[in-house]
Amino acid sequence: MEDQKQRRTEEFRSWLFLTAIMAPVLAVLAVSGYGFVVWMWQTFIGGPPHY
Amino acid sequence: MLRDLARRYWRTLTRPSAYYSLGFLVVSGFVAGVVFWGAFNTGMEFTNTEQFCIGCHEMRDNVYQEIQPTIHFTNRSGVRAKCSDCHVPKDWTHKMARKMQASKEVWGFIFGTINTREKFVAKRRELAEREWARMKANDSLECRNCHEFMSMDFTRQGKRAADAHSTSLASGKATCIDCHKGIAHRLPDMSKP
Repeated sequence: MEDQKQRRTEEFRSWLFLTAIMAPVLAVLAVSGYGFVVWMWQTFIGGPPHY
Repeated sequence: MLRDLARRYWRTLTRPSAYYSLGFLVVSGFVAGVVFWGAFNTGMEFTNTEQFCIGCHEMRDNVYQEIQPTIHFTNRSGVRAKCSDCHVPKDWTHKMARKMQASKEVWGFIFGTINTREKFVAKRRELAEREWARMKANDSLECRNCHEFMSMDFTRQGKRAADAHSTSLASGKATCIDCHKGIAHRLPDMSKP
């Protein structure tokens, strides 16, 4: 019984951590990483393209 | 103890949930994604506001003062450009790149690279050259977001303007920024080559 309660708590905390912290942080890191790569690309390989 | 805890949570994360249904997990993930993207874009929009730009005195006391008497800020029709209209690309990829580039401006703010009028004026040429190069490279895209060549009525332009627009601009030999430098902020000292 105690074990089931613990499992429930751990599942809830894991869910909260994934949705509220890990996913948003990863998304922000991915977007800023992408922006950074484009910036470095523009700096060293070819500046803002014609379009 | 800590190892134990980590192992237990790793197990929780890697096996199917016993207490939360697949439906709840998928829907909650979807909703959280929508909320996140909304918040992310709201934050991104906020960094595009004038209020944000002039939050630091380098912008407020220099470039913001200079744009106010120009036609891009005050004019008969009340349509005006704010900082991001000219200085932040609209296209998503280039916008993100520009936002990351702005981290260098945060660096400059922290270390006071242009924190006095004198330092700003001394660096103005370098800063201006960078913006001119950018606009030259993208064919003055930010000008063209509002000023449409196809909609220009040469008969309503001055002769000098009509002459230049119907030849150099029309043929693509020159782009807006080639002639229209120093229109929104004062020109740097151009005496040196």
